[in-house]
Amino acid sequence: MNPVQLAIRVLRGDSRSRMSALFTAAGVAVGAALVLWLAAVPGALQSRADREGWRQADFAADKADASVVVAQTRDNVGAQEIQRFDVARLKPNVPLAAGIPKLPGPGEVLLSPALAELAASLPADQLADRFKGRVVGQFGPEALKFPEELVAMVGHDPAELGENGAPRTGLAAARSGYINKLLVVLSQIGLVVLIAPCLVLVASAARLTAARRERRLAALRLAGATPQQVVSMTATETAIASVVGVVLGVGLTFPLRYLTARIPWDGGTWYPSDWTPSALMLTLVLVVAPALVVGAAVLGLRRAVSRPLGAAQQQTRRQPNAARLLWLVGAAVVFVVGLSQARSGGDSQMFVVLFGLAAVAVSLVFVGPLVTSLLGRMFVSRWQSPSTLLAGRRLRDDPKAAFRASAGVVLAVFAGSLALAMFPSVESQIGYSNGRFRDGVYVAQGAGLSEEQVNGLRSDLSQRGINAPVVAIAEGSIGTSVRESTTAMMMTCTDASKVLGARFDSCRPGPAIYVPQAQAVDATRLKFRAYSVPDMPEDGLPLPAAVSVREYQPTGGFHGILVDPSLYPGISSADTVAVVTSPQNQDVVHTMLVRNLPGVSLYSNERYDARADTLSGDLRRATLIGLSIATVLGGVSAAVASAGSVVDRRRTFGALIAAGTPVRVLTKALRREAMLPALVATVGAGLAGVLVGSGLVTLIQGHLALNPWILTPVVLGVVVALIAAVACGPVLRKITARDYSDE
Amino acid sequence: MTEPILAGRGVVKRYGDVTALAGVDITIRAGEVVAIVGPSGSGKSTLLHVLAGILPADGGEVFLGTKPITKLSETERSKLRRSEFGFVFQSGMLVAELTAEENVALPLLLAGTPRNQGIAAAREWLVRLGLGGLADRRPGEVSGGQLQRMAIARALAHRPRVIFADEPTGALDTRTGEETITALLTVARETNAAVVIVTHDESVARRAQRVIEMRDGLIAVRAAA
Repeated sequence: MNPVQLAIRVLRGDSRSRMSALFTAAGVAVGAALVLWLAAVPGALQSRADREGWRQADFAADKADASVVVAQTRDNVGAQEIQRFDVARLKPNVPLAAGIPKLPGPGEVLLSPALAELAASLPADQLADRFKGRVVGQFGPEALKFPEELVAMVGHDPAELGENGAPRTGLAAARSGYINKLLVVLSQIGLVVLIAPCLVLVASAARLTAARRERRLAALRLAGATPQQVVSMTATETAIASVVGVVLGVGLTFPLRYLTARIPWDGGTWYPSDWTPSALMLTLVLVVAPALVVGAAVLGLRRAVSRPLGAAQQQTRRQPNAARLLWLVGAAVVFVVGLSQARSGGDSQMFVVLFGLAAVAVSLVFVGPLVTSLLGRMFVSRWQSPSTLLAGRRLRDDPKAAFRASAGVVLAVFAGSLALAMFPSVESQIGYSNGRFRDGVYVAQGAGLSEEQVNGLRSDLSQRGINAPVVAIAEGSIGTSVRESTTAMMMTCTDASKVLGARFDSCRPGPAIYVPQAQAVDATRLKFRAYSVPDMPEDGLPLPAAVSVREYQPTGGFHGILVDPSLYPGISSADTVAVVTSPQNQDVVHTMLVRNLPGVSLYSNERYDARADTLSGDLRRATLIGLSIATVLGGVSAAVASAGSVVDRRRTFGALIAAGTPVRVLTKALRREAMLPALVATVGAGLAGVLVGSGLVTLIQGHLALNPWILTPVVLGVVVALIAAVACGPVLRKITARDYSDE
Repeated sequence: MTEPILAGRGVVKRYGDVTALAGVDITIRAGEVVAIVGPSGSGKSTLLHVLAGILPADGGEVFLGTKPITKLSETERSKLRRSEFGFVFQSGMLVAELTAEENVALPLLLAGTPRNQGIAAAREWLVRLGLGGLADRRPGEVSGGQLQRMAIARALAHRPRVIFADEPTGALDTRTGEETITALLTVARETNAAVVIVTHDESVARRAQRVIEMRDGLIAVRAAA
């Protein structure tokens, strides 16, 4: 009988080997599915970016080259964002991306299916009226970021768009859509730190009941089997389980796509096809996963192959030495070098950082047995109860096996601490409204709004019985020179007190400038420059002599200088219109603004904060999903390894139970055995996570902000380890006194 | 003749449809050495397990002295095994990670003996069995004979009334087996513990005061050695 036949026979005949193979297959399946899922993240982001590539491409340097003028703005309805494109054809043939059926002409509108449905379901003055014209078609999925994205393309005459559009050669898809660099970095980091626990799970599954296998193989070696036969037998046994597992894992990826597609990100869900792993990645996982499992199992056989007698008699194992610390030091050096290179050398150096990050994660698994051994030594010297003695000796005698249960938890804690160390810094980069304008004020900003347009807005509002103050503002700068200037807004102080985040107690009619309280200015040297006046001198126009300078109290985010319009009677055009709304008329005002001022970008504190809330929610969700995956992986690895360690010592436990050892003593010993290294290692992993996280935030120009939440992964890790340790109980309770005579 | 220390009356044990013990009567007296022999599947190990309280009997009764033990809960039987019985298994079945002295001290520690006293007592037992120099060795670091003597020390450390030995020489060569049995019987005699040995080995059986041969779940032959 050749080794392969022998392995198959073992799997057929021995129920525990079969159970072990099933566990291995399940572990490999979960690991492979997760790796494929994680590896699909960058591709999914890229697919989304590619579909919206037409929105960011084909800009024309010269208007003569342009075939279309496009004003791209963000609008919203409730908390949902609308991507709006006001377009005006300049040439007959405009290249269009897939998913855009035609370029709408003046009076024509294209809507995405979700927006068309929503517009039909709401009163016209709350949404549909924003898009002047007849709906002539719908966007196809190829041009949408996500299925329920709200996109509108409104056709105009070129004159209607004025200066608010950008000349473009077309609306064709870019070769590769742009992804936010921060997202790329975060997804790569997430990928690296989560793949490590996946590999630990796979390795734990591969090493399940390793001691039993080792004894069996050692017996075969003693009976005359060659090392090659023993290795072949193990390779066959694990290859069968891992191939079944990896095929199952790859199969799982497909239904998992539909589940993942439902997770909202950046305002919407996904197309399931976004999450389809690439053929290269599928092939890699199909080949590498079984190779890793077989490799891990064969490497674990070194003792049975080289010293079969020692393995058969379960002689003491070689202790991990302090040289393992060098792994951690080396990994830390690679990481720090990578960081410094990435900070100075850009994206191309990111590989070194990620390699360093992976190396730190792996080195934690290398250092773990050393810590476990030291811990065991301490407990062996100080034990007072049999359970502490049993646990301490196990930790001391076989620290690698004892740590195996904690490895997944350690990596999960490392990933969690790293994520939470980075989270406040990443979140702080999300821009919330600065309170420059008051809450409830809708602000339309564009290049040169005509008086006619503003009057049209006032008229439309008045026709609908809405008495909302409409304030036209000329924004600009004021200072002694272009370099030494500050923001300025031209409007009356009465209007300013309605729309700006400031208190104008000294407001009186008449020519004056208003400066922030306690700010000294020399008005004789100041010059005002309005952005909406194209032919204004670069330095601006000087203020009239003996201008009155009054103070205002900044109460929000406005800290600029207010210029009364009577100071410059010649400047009549505005570039910003602010409308004070009430909750009752907000939607209608919004619609009228968008309808009357095509191509302007709309701002309100609420809209801005809603967008920031979406980003913050995405970040929290991604962190939570990552932490949950890490926790589940760590927990499953710990449970599998702990349960496996009980099964491996089934006979000894059986004998102890037969001799009257209470099961609760053994349970307590097992819990201590699982908990003690987890307790120490998770604290160490938490610390390592925070340190690595503090390094990574420097890549996004952030800084470490510690808060009590940073302890969550450590606490969670200990709880997970405890649960996994408790999971040994049922396995142990299945062992009876008669099991000593088993095998 | 001494009083019976352990007795089985009409003991029945079934595994599904298979009757392993079909009404066995047996009496063990203090200090007595009884060997149970018989072919594989005859019920000798099952009898040992039922007498030791490892398995509950399905019928009949087992008495420790005058106390019936069959109806005791698993916890109570476990306590009984810990305090009144000692066990010597084939291949020792010691805890691989513990040193010899820790293995021997384990029953004492489980009974609540403080660490120092337990370890001191264990060392005495190791010296008594000729293993004084191996106190710090692990089970995997000693020979088969030494391993079994360690197991004997562990079985006797808490001074049980009965020692159950399940194929104690099964994994040893003849000479080492004889040495091991001599060691077991010597220390058992010194503590007046009864010894019940399940064995296939005739030379071991010959050392017993009484040999019981099992066939098909019943005692076929009782013979004085």
